Amino acid sequence: MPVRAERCSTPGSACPSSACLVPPAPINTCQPGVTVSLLYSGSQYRGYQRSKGNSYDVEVVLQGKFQAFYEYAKSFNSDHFDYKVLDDSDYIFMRWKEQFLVPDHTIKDISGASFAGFYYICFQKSTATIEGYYYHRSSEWYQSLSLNHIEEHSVPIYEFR
Amino acid sequence: MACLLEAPLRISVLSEVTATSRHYVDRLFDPDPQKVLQGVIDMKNAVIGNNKQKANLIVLGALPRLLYLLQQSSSSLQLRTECAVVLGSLAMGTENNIKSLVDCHIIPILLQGLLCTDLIFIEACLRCLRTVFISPVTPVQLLYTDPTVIPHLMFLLSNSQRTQEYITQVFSHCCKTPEHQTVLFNHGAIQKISPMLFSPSYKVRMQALKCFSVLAYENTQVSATLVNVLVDGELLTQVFVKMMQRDQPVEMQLTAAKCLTYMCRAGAIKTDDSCVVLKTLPCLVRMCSKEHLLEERVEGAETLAYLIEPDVELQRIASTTDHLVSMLADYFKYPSSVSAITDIKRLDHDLKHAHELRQAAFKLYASLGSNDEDIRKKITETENMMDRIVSGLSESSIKVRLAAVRCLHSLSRSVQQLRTSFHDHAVWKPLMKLLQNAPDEVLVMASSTLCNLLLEFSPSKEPILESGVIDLLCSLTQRESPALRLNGIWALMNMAFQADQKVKVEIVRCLGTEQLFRLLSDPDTNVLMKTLGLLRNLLSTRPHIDQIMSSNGKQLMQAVTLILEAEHGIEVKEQTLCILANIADGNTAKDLLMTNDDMLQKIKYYMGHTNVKLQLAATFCISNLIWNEEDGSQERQDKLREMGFVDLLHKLTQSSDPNLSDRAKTALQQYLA
Repeated sequence: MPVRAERCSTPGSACPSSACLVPPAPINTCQPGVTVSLLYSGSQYRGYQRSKGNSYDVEVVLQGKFQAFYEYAKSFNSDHFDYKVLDDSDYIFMRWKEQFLVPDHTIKDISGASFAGFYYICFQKSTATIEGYYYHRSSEWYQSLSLNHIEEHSVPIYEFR
Repeated sequence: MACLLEAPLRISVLSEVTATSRHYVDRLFDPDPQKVLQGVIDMKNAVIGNNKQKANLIVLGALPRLLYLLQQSSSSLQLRTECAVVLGSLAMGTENNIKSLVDCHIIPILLQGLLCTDLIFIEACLRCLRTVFISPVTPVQLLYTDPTVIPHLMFLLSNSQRTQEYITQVFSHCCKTPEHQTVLFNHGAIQKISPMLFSPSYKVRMQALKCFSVLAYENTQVSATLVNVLVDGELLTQVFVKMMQRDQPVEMQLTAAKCLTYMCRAGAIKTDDSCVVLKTLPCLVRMCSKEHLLEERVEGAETLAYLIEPDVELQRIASTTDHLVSMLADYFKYPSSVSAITDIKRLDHDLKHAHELRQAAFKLYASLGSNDEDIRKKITETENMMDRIVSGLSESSIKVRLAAVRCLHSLSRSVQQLRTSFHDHAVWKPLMKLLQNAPDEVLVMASSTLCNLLLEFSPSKEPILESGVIDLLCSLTQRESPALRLNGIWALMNMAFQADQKVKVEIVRCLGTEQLFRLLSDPDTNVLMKTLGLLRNLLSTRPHIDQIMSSNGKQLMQAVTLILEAEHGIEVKEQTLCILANIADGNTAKDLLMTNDDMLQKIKYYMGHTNVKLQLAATFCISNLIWNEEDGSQERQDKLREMGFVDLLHKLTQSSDPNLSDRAKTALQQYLA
């Protein structure tokens, strides 16, 4: 292949375009501005998880996907769904999957506390609360998650390069 | 003793050869033109396939004489033609031969010869020119020094298949820069070369295709023109598509795919066009299969990597075509003891060039994994891939090192990968090693990767910090290259995200306030944005905010003022207002704002701005200042009410933007409690 010159199609542009970076920045990302959704990367939620009559403290820190998803939900597949309704609604529905444990991500299963299923989440914007229910074919019913947003007045940011 | 015996024997053999060669040269000086002509013909026959003879003749001064005879108007056409043929033959020798030919000014002399009208002579000159120009030791610029040359070559194109073949070969080899592309384009290259795609001669069709590929590369004008060209009523793009069919020679398929790839990247064809998705992409994936030659697999992978680089849809399609991700794993296993190679020459070649396969695979993985999480998982879960990447980072070939770090960079854009595969294989170690004494190309890629490895949720952050990376990043911010400055400051910004005070203090100490303020006036907007991002991060969580503002508050407020007063884009102003909002969250830091009436007026101005983002940021700032859970909030609320902020907030509660009205309402509620 020919050797590529490092060129930008809009040299000296005032717009901080990451399109002409070498290597190109991840698509559909930009430096976070003012947070307009409580689902920003780094956003923290605290509460508890209930199952089998026990209650466990939970802290959730949102990383990576949420803001992007929130803004691009419209591009996800569906033929007739009216996404405008979602925009105006006080509720956002999500499905969460626990990917791996820390500190040892190689553990695939814990007997009595499997994480093979999904959490079905309802996030309410006006109260900044998260309510969720865990479901797996072989799990018992009504394992629930209940979290509240921790308010931050000075929010740090990051951006994947 | 042995060498003493050998030497005399060698000298006698040498003198024998030299004597014959000298005889050939001497005959060129015969006064009888017939004898001269015969001498040249005999010389032509003597040098065919004989590099030794060619070298001897050159050493003995045949070149200037041959060139003289070629130029002389008194020489017969036949003599001139035979001289051109011999010169063409001499050019087929070694690179040293070519150097000698070029030093004797063969190029301008042959170009002059093209002004003759005899076709056979012209073809002989062109053949020799072709051989000289395609040599790597010949400066391509020599084609462009005389501005009459290109138009004349264009004129000669239609004379015969041979002129077509030789001239297009010269063009495709010598078109190396945007300036070259423009010269050829302006002299009608596209119109002249298009019909050649239907030549009965395969060689001509191939050379024409190669021309189009080098003309279209990163050239929006050429690519936009090509897309509308009709040849015999058929669109050029469709002609290229036909040339990618499996029944065509592989070289043709690949070159046609390159043409369409370059046109697509140059914006002339959309990435969702069927000729890209259904024809070009699958063709390039096919080239990656084991059945193809090493060079074909390398070029296929590199071209595909280039095609899909900016488009996530193409990345997704490619990743699910022919199991590409696992197909590429084979690139690391070839050649091996089980590879079916029967040709010794081929085996020798492939052993020497196996690293090309590895770097091509890394490049393609880098493009494939640059945006999609599922693809990244596929790559890291491919057997031994992380180990291969780690090895690649310390290979002797710099091409492989660069491609491996590119691949690592794409994979590093994932929270999951950072916490799993990157941690398991301790990739930070070879990465840090790579940074030492690295050339800029590698430094850019490696520092891009660092930006992600230094995030709070990355287990590699700690060990990297301990290895003294802050110094390195601060020094990058002082580099002339904007790409390096950007990565330096970006990495610092990400490092400061949710960082503890120790790290923040170290960043400020190492960078220095002077350099920080210099970066705030950086001509590159991206650098400025990341510097503002760093400041936002340094100024987050209350104790940190107060600590930094107590030592650098005055200067920071000045810097913020300068940026708000200068001509900057919305994004820059937004970041700056966010910094103010963070300062407003501090305890003691709040006072720096409250006692700065000028700054408060600016905030008021932005609350009434036409851009909602700026209004939001400014409102957030005020909201923090009046937050009634903080000491002294009453006094602050009173002052700001007097300044008219309450009225302004009321107005904003009526905003059509729900976020803005919510934020204003929340702020107003602070007054009611």
